[in-house]
Amino acid sequence: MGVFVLKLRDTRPTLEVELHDPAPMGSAPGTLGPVHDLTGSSGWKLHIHLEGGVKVVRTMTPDATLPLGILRYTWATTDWDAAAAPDANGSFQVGGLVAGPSLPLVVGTREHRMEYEVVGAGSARLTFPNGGYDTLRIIADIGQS
Amino acid sequence: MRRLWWWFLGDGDAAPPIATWAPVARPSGGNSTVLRASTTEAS
Repeated sequence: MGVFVLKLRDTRPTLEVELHDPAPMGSAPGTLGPVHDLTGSSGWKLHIHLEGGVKVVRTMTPDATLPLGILRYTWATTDWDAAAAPDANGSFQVGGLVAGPSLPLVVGTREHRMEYEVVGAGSARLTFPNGGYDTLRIIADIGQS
Repeated sequence: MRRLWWWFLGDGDAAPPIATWAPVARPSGGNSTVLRASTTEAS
């Protein structure tokens, strides 16, 4: 599972993830499957479960070349705002990255779980990865001007 | 899931492996990701 590192309140680098389908039967353990073709898909979400239990959700953007299976999310300054009211699923669509007790303003590291959800053709719903989670590692900054 | 096979030696038995881990079920491959930092903006 991958790890993405971000300094507290930063808005770059952009998170980029390449989605892969399961590897063919008989493949060696750890073998990546083929890239997941996003052609025909209609929904792309980044779900983050903060260490303290807060959940946030963001809309991702697919690469213009859909067969590449690449989704991106560019962090916004509002991601670091206090969270607004959660949606029906209990996830914050705006702000929230500092809302939980998991992000104290001290130097340190906090790790959160991430997954990416795709609604494909025929309303098929796929989650990547589906055998675990990627990690978002947010490191508190020393100072900010 | 793994199964532990044990062999017990009797008098005069040849020495088999003390223990062998043998996979009995291999999960099918799942969806996976390659995660990276990018300088390409999501637009």
